[in-house]
Formats: sequence, C-alpha cells, structure tokens
Amino acid sequence: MVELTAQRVVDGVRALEEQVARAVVGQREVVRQTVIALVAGGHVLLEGVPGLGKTLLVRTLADALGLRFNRVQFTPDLMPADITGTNLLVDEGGSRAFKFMAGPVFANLLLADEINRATPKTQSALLEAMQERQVTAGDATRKLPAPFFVLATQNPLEQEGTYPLPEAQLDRFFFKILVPFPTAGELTRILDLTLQPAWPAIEAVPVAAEVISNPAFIRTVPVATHLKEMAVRMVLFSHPDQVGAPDEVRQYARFGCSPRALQALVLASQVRALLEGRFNVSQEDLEAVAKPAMRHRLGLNFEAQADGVSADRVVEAIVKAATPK
Amino acid sequence: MAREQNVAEALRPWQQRLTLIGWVQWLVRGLTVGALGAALVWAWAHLFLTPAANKIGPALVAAGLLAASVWAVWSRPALPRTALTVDHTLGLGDRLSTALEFSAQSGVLLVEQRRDALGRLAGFRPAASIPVRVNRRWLIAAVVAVCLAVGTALAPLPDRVLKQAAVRAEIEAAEKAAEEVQKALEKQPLSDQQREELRKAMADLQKELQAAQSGFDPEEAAKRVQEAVAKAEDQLATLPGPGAEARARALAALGSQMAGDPQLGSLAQALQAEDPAKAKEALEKLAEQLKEMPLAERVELAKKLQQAARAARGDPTVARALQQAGQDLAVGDLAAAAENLGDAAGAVSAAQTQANLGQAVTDAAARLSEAGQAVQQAAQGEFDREAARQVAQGQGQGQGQGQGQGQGQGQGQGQGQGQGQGQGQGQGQGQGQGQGQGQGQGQGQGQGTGGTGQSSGGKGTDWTGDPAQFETVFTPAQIGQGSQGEVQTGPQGLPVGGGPVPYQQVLGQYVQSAREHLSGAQVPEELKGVVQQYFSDLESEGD
Repeated sequence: MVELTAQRVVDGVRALEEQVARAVVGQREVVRQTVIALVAGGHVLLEGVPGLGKTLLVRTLADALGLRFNRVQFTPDLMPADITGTNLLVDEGGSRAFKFMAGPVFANLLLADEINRATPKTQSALLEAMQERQVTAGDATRKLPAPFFVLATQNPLEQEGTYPLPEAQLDRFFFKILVPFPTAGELTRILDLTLQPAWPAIEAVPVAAEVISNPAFIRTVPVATHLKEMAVRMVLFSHPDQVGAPDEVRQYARFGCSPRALQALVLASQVRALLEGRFNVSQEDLEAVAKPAMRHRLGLNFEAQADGVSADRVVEAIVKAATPK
Repeated sequence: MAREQNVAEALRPWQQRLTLIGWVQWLVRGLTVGALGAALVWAWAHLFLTPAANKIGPALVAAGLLAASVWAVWSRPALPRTALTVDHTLGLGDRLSTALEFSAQSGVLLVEQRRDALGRLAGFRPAASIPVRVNRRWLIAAVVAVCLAVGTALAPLPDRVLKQAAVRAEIEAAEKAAEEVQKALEKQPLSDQQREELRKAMADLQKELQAAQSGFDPEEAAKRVQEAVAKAEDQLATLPGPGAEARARALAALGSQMAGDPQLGSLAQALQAEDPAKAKEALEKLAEQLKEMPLAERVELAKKLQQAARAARGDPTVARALQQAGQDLAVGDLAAAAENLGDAAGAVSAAQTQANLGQAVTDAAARLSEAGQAVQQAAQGEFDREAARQVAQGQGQGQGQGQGQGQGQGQGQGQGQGQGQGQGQGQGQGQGQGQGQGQGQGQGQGQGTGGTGQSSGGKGTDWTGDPAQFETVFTPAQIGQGSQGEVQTGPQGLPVGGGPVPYQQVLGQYVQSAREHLSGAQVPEELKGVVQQYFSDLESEGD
C-alpha cells in the first residue's frame, strides 16, 4: 500500500467530492459537509423534504468509495430486529438451529430514511449501533463492518405520526445537514440529466476509501492553540449560563452543546482544511463547520420558537462571540 | 532549531513592517490628542489670561507624539501576533501562526504545512502587501484637531484678555517698583521701629499686589492695587515723623542764604548737597575756629548766625541753637558760643537726615502712585496692545524683567540727578537737569529685545545714593508765633525748658538783658556799639 501523504490525502478527498458532485446536481455545500463527516468518521443527519437527492447522494458516495450500501425506510411498525437482524430457526441438513440473519445495519453505508417515523425503540436500536459500532442479538455481539456510516434523513414538514429524536440521540450525529431546495438553474440541470439516456457514471476513488479507513491521519492536521481556544469558546458560549455567552444564547437557548460538539468542530475543521488544500486548520474552517456541528446539539426554548429564531441564527451569534478580536 | 529560525526569520521583516505601521498609527493618535489638548489650552487662553499657553500648547503636542512613540515601541507586535496579523491581512488561513507554533515539531503533515506556509508568504512583500495606512477616522480627527489648534493659536486675543495682560504687566511693574522703593528706603538711617513699619507696609503692599495679579477682573484688580498703594503711601508718610517738610524748607533756606559766605559757605554747600555729616562737620569746625578768630570776624559771624537763625526759623531747634550761638558770640562768650554751635551742628545734622528721609518717602510715594496710575490706566483700556499681546502670549516677559541702566546728567548750580529705569534687556537712559536745590527731572527710555522698555526719569534724587544727603523736614513754623500759654523763665527772665516763646517777647527780654550787661564792665567798649547796633537792627526787623 502506498503510504499516505498529505498531498495524496488532499487529492483523494477532493476527488471524492468531485465524483459526488458529478451525480448530485447543486447541493455543493451538502456534498461537502457530507464528505467531511464521512472522512472524519461521523454519522450524518440530513434534513430536507423528500426528493432532494438524499438517497442519490448516499448511493453515489458508496459507489465512489466502493462501499457496501443499504437503505432502510423507517416506518412506525419497524422493529429493532428489522434493523439489526435476528436469529431465525432454520433447517440445516435435517437439524434445526438458530441462524443470525444480519439486518440492513450490516453495511458500510446505511441510509436510514425518515428516521423520525420509527418508534423510539427502533430508533434507539439504530443509534446504539451507530455509537458502539456493534449489534447484540441474543447472546452474541457482532461487530459492524468498518467503516460504518449512517446517513439518516428526516422530513421537517410532516410532524404528525413522527417520533422526534431525543437530544441524547441527536448528539450522536456528527453533523446535521440541511438540504435546501434546488435553485432554478439546478433544477434545469437535473432535468437535463434526467433526459439523458444514462446518469453520469461514478468512478471509484480508492484513495478516499483509504483515507476513510485511516482516520488517524486526519487527526494529525495541526490546529493552532488560538483556534483550539476558539473552538472551546464556541462550545462554552452555547450554554446560556456561561460568562461571555451572547445575548441570543441567553435568550433562546435551553441548553448548550456537549463535548461531542467540540470534537466534531475540530475534526470537521481538519478535514475541511485538507479539502481547501491547506495543511492546517484555520478560523475559516471552524466558522464553516459550526452550523452542521452545533445546530442539532443546541436546545432552543419556546421563546425561540415563538420568535421564529432558528438554531443557525444562535450559532452565528456564538461564532461571532467566540471569534478572537 | 533551523526550522524555527526559518519561520521566525521569515516573519521578521513583517514584524518590522507592523511595528512601523503601529508607530505611524499611534503618532496620528498622539498628534490628535496633543493637538486637541493644545486647542483647549489656546481656547482657554482666549477666555482667561494664560501667558504660558504658547509654551503649554506645543508642549502638549510634543508630549502626545512622544507618548505615542513610546507606546508604539513598547507595544510592538511579538512574532505570534505578527503571524496572526499577517495571516489575517494576507488571507493565509492561519498558516503562519500554525507554522510558528509547530515550528519545533516534526511530522509529515507539519513539514508540509510549514513548507506551504513559507511558500505562500514568499509570494508577498511587506511594503507592498501591508501599506502604511492610517485609520480614516483617526486621520480626520487628527486633521480637525490640528486645524483647531492652529486656529485657536492664531486667532487674535480679545480685548478683555489683552486688558488682563496689560494690567498684570503693570502690576508686575508695580511689584518691582515696590521692591526698589523698599531697597532705597532701607538704605536710609532708620530706627528699628521705622524699619519694622517700612517692611510691614511693603509686605502688605506686595501681598495685595500678588492677590490682585491672580484675579481675572482687570477693573477689580486695578481697584485693589489703588487701595493697596494708597494704604502703603499712608504708612510710608508716617516714617519721617512730623515736621519733616518744614525742616527741609528751613534747611534749604539756610543753605541758600549762606551760600558763598566765606565763614558759613561750607555749611551752605553741605546743606545744598543735603549732606548732614558735612553740615555737622562744618559747624563743628566753625566752633573750633572761634578762639583764633579776630574780633571783627567774630562780630561779623555773630551777625551772620543771627541771620541764619532767622532763615532757619522753620526748624525751631536749629534756629534756636544758631541764635543762641550768635548771641553768645556777640557778647564774647566763646565757650558758650562754641557749645551752641555744637548743638546747632547736631540739630542741623538731625534735621537734614529727617529731611532726606522725608524726601525719600515722598519720592517713594510718587513712584508707587505712578505704578498704581499705570495699573489704573491699563484697566481703563489705555495700554499698548502689541505689548499686551506679547505679555498675554508669554513673549518677552522674561526679558522685560531684565536689568536696566540709568544715566544721569546734571546742570546748573544745584545738583541734578537723573535716573533711568529700563525694563527689558536693553538700556535705559536718564537725563536730568538740576535747578536750584537739586530738584531735577529726567526722562529715560529703555528698549528691550523682547518687550517694550520703559524708564522714568529721576527727580533729582538718586535712589541708590548716599542716605546722608536726605534731610529731616520739619513742619512749617514761624519764630515769634509760639504758644501764648505759660512760659517758664529762668532767673534772668529768659525762657527755659525749650518751649516755644513769642518772638517779640523773647526779643524784649534779650534787649533788656543786653542793656543791663552793656552797662557793666563785662562787655568790652569796642563791642558795645556792635551789640547796640545788633539789637537795633533786630527791633527794626521785628517791626
């Protein structure tokens, strides 16, 4: 195996981004944030209305990385075993025995579509697999394949009959990415691609897969002390009772981000730095990854809902307050 | 270490550039603050007299620039700060700050990162990439502040401030005049009590002048000065004691009458020179010469002494002593005549001393009054505007208090003494013309390089002269117009105790006494005619 060098990593991650962008029209920021989360080894929660290309995005990523891809459509009657797999009594050569039938979770890339439609029990089973990267069925614990990424989606419009993810489980997602509606130009481009006989073919990016399999390299990207301090301030200032927290946090935040947010901020910044062709984290990286890393970890109160204040607006205030003067 | 040096060395020119930029920016701020301070000082100088404004204003600007320079050097950016600033300015994405922080460490990515950072930095030049720019708001503030400072500095001072300056300058001149007056009077032969009174009077005056100088209202200050000067004049007027003026006139008359006389000419000269010691010496010498004097000269001297006594009747003590000496000489009592001449010498000396003190006090009062008048005129708007402007702006004031030189010239028989007093660094010249008894007038002018010089001429009195030339002046009196009350008389009917006696009474008594003595053998025959003739003359003059 060729040794990973800084430039190879940069080239590989950039190539992965380019391949995904070939199939997914527009959504540059969504693609980039998803790639960042995957390279950093984190799970992603995609929020957007149906039909915006979320499945296409995940499938393309799997193709480019040469990873095994599964998709599960979450419904209220979906049981945990439907996700993790179950032991079935089967005949094998005249004798009966329990055989574990692996669920869709046993894949490198799992698309959990509309995760908020499943019951908390089923959600919990998936989230446990995300955190532990293993599944327990019966008396056996089975490791999930590595790498293992979950890209869950949820529809922000249809709330009836859904089970919103609890904060503790939201915290396990590395990023929460908002998928915006395409622009007119992007819609035209989608139409053009649709009218073509075949969808653009995706080439595999082995180096990217290698990078994903070797997350330790990413963590050697240097982070200057003043940027570490800024990341720490960003997390601290998300807490309404913290000295230095901006007014938006004091007024609208119910609770602040966990230490996982700090880890996500720095790891994501390291990946983004490489994507930018830089070998060090910059303040710009921290600012760019702040929203996807913090928006789902920030608990807003009723006043925020009443005033129509989004988590992104509060995160912006936090970044501004944490930026070195 | 080499890697550390690479990054640090690469940042060094940028650090110098940032230091320069910081210095320029702080200079502008210092200039702004200093100029604003100067503008405030000069604006204040337009409201209230502030002679030091022209020194304080530029000093504030200089202080602002100096403080800004010191602060700029002290707060120059360190290398980490330089790296952050260059990162931010050139959009290097924290490359330099990261490279500097990890310059001592090694690793695949760190080496790449350092190379990347230095490579990016190499594409820039400090002078071209970070031009020396000053914050626009500070620049505007600096321009406004400088314009304000220049405007307030060049704006003409209002009349009110000029008047304050003129009054203050005149008060300062009055203070100097008071000092000189005190010095001059201190040289007079004063008793301890007189000296104490003089010092107290002048101390009170100086205190009042200083208090007036610190006030903002020129009219009020002038009024205060006038009151203080008037009070000082009153206090000085008590120094010589009563009768000084009359005694002065008596001595002057005596000197005038005896001038040119072969026997009493030296006394006359001493009196005209207002020299009490020489006057005393002349009379004492005359007393010593009585024994060797031929009879005819003694007779002649007796007559002259009687005439001198009449001339000096404004000073009863002197007149009495001279008259007694003349009488004693007329009757041939040389010892008594010599003794009375000695008494007359002491009396003349004391009278001349008192007259001199009186004259000195008069001149001092005139000097103070003149200073007070000058203050009053300044308060009423009668002053030199250019000189006042210079005083208000602190120009020439130091030089105006320099030394002056006086020159005096005298003409005529008397002694003319002039005095010039210059203010300013130049020279004052005085010219005086003496007439009669040394009364002179002089005028002087002084010119200073920084201010306007002024001098006043003397009035025949040398302030720095010998105190002996001053004389005591008695209150005017007339022989023969003494008290009409009881008079104590001696065995021969002559008055004793020194009290004033009407002239006709005294004359009658002496005529009677003379006739009694002429009938006896005590008076030589050749002198009896002289005595008779003497009293006949006296009686005829008394009529």
